[in-house]
Amino acid sequence: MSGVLVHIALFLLMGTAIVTLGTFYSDADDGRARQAWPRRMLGFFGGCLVLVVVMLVCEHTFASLG
Amino acid sequence: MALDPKPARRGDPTVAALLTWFLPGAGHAYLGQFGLGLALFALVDGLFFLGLQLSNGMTFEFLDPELRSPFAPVLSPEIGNLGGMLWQMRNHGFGPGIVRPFPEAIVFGSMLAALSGVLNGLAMCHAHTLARASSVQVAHRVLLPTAAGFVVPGLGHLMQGRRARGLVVFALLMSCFVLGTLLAEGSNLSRERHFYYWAGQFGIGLPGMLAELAFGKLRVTSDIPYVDGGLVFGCVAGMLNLLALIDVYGWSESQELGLPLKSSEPESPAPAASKVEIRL
Repeated sequence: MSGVLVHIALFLLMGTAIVTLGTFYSDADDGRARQAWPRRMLGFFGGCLVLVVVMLVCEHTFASLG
Repeated sequence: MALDPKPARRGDPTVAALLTWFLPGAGHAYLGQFGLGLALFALVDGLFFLGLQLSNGMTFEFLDPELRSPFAPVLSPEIGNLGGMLWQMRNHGFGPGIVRPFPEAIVFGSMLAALSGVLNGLAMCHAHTLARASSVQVAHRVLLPTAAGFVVPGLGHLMQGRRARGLVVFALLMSCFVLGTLLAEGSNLSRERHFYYWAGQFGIGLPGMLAELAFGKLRVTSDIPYVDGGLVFGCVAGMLNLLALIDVYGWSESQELGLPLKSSEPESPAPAASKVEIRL
């Protein structure tokens, strides 16, 4: 379990870095970047959550050895 | 920063950048700056050939035999100095095909050759700006913060007066790089072990080079549990710094050359012009 938590913590840090730098790259203006950042964070982590659910469903159906 | 008063085209910016890519300084010579071109040639290719000398041209022999192909070195920082990289591939390539000991100074030599690629990338940006700027000083002012961002992540933003952004860039990228190095127990600093991860990580700049010189020769004596995570963290930190450098360059360019700032948000519509009634 602790391994999963470590992976989640590492993913959150990496995701935050990717989204923040992506926002800076897209919006040169600080005000606009600050406005866009929460929406981008939500989109990134929400998308990742959907992907995790899809992969878990696939794992327990198509790829299930049982 | 003052706006460039007389933006003028000295030549085609794309041609200037491409010429520099093939031969450092050639783009500046094309734009009439022969002295600067010669100095850049001496600096970039001097570093490259010094690195080649120290490494005995064996850097690409770090690649595993199954990864060796004519395009394999394209994903290395040396690609920034295309002429030099082609010269190295032609004269040294992947070696004679037998396993042989690497020279003592190969870590430093390989780093210098990679650094010449990054410097030539900056020279390409300088040439591209110079082609559109009224003076060399304007191009210098555009490039200086970008180069500073390679020395220390976030420093370029600080030089532009964007303190909050610079501090966020520094904190995020350095924490990713340091955490990656800790997770990989320093093995991420070895180009010999992780050729392509190292290439991405090289974008973090001077901190990465100093860490490699200090800890790049650590021996791996046992299994490293989070080595994959560490490699990804280091590599992504370096590549994200390249995005930060593009942001710095774009900001300087817009300030100095009067170009519009990059934004993902649509511009708000301009207020409708007031109607003017003309009565005769």
